[in-house]
Amino acid sequence: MQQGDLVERASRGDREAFAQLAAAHVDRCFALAYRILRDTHRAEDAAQQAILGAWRDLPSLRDPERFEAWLSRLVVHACYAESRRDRRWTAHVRLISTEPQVDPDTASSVAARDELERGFRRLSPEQRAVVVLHHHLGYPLTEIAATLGIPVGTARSRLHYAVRQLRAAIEADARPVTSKERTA
Amino acid sequence: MTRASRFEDHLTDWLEEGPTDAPDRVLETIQAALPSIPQRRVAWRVPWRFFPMNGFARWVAGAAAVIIAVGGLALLNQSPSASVGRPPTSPPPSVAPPSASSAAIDTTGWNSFTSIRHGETLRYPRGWTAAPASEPWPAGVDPTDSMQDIFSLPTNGDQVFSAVSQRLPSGETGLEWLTNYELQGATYHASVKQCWPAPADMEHTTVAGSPAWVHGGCGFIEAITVVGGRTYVMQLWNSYDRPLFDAFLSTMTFTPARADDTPVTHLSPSPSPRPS
Repeated sequence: MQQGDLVERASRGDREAFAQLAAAHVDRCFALAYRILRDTHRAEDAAQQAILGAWRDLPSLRDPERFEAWLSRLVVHACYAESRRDRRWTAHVRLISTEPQVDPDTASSVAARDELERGFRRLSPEQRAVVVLHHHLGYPLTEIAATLGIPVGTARSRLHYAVRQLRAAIEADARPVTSKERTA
Repeated sequence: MTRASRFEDHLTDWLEEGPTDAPDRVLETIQAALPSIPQRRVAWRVPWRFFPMNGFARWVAGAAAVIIAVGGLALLNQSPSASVGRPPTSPPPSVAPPSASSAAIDTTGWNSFTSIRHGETLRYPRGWTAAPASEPWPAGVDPTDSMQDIFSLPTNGDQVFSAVSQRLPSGETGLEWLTNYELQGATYHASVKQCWPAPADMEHTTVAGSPAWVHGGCGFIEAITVVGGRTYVMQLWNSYDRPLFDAFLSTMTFTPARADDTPVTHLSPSPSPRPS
């Protein structure tokens, strides 16, 4: 059965049809939520909330062809809600490894990923969402705007500042800590 | 490759890492919770579709209205008054389930309800709850829950009866309003446009002595009537229980002069907590 038919049936209260939609989209929802939240358990919660919210609000979906984009929007908003439950978004301690680095290539790769992880966690949930939609799902700005329900200009500026902030955070991490900063 | 694009490529690669499959428990939890979660009724499922019409759609709507009018279905095509039209001279085709006699459901003993916002009275079954509208339904917008008088059975959240009204726009007849209303539904739900038929294809009946149009079969039953310059829309959601719908309608009276279209003034950004 085509997805559009399933959406139509589910929007009229057919739980069996919706169960098929949920099974087809749960991985995508979880993967998106994980990349925004960077936490497996929170991503599971967000995916569940988004999909159950989709069932509850499906009759409001005017165009069944927009189901995937609409569901992505619900996932993003579920991630926002998860982030509000945890006010410790930006309180991530910078860990400095004291282990000897054996393989320079591997070590630099790991270090680069760690830097990205730390920098990314400093972004707001809204900034994370546009970064993930653009750089992971490949959405153009117009699609991001439509998915998130924001103007294209807002999507553009949010993405621009998110990437700039991410770069700045990584460069700050990479900068040697001076004795003055250490004692501050 | 620029430094910036190298960074963004690196960012994309990094985002690729991480889990892509949800643990089984995620779907299991969803499937377990699904039966206990009702779908939202009303404003969402929405035959409500008052989006701005483009010029072509407006032209089509106008043309449809003219064709219907010329075709002899001049039902309710009078200026606003206590009753907006005449009964049809011949029964039109119906898309709604056959109407059962409302006598099948005894409404004596039902609770009484008077709408402050919309100027209608009705009775609803014992055990159901009433949520009165707290604000008017202005033209050009989808009605939210707070704009409608909503009646639901707490133990079956899927079944909901709602009533809502608005003043007819100046110079617009009831038939023109209804034609636009259904046409927009058919436009936005093109794949199931039969759910929003033209007025000529609806069943005609009377509600509180006023001519009314009824259609259904797409998860809801809907009746529309125009009284005293106001259009009233009644719906039963997630149900094909036509006898129940007719029973609701049989209890209704309309006093449009008592409708209150005063907009709600929000004095504070959030309501103050109610003193205990």
